[in-house]
Amino acid sequence: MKRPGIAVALAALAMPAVALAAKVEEHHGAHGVPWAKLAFSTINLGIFLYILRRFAWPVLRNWTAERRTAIADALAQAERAKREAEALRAEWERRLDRLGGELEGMLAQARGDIAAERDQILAAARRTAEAIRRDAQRTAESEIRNAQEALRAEVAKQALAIAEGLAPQRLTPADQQRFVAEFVQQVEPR
Amino acid sequence: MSGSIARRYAKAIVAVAQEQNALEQTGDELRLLRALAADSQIARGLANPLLAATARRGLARAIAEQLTLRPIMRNFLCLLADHRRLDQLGEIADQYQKILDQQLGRVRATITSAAPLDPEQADAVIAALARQTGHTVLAEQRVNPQLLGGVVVDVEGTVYDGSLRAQLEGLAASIAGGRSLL
Repeated sequence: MKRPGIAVALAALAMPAVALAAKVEEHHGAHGVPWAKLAFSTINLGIFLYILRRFAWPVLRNWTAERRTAIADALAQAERAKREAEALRAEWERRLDRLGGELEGMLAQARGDIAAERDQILAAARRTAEAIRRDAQRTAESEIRNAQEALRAEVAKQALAIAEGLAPQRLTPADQQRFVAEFVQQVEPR
Repeated sequence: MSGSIARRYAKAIVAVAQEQNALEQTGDELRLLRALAADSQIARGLANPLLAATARRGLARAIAEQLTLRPIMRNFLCLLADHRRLDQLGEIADQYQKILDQQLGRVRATITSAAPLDPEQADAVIAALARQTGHTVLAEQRVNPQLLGGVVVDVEGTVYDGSLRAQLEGLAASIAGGRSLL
């Protein structure tokens, strides 16, 4: 607020000087060097230079200083960003190198695991196959044994039925007497 | 539970009969009462819980008079009626018989044969059983043609099987390798 007020005042001072210069020039006409006009022009130039020095120069100086600071900051920031990027790149390169080793290790471990699992599966399959074979053999043997027993039972049953049919016809009182005698012998205490 | 109750009453009547020297006669009367109680209609009447004490006693007296029982048995029947134990008559008779047999050193046997035994055969079997058990054998004879031949004797739960059927079945079982033929 202060600076525009001063500028207006200086401009107001310059205006009469300009008007006076114009008046002197009209009075003297075309006689020799126009000193007065020159003096007034010089004063005007001085006022102009003063105003420029007083008001424009600090602004320009500040602007250039700020601009320089900003550029320096930007450069510093760019430098930091560059350093960080390089550090990041170095870190990732290290990680990639390490990852390569880890991947190799993991691949080797996975290959080992797969081989072990394959061996286990094969062993289990062999055991299962053996168990199935044994079960089948046992089942076959059991079925054969059952069939043999069923056949023997059927033969015995038929033999018993024939004996039961024949006994009443063939047995005589003498046989019954013999049975009783044998029974008495068995019951007698020894 | 009812077995032990019947045994207590049987012991009591054995004691009384022994005092009167009438063990066998009491046993005969109890067998008669058991046969009576075996009738389902009479059994229901004896076990009827709705009968009053006087009616139960009247029923006991009527039975005693009908069967011309001795006073000892009549009194015993009245005692059972008073204690609501008339329905235990059959079990008491069985327990009495067992106690009596034990006291007299007797065992009861059922001799089952395929054909009727002649007296010599029956005597031989009974004598063999007497020697085996060490007791006098009271035998009851039955005939069962299904046995085919020989005899089966049941001495108070112990069975001596000398039948032809058992021998044939044993033979068939050994042929079948122990498998049941039934």
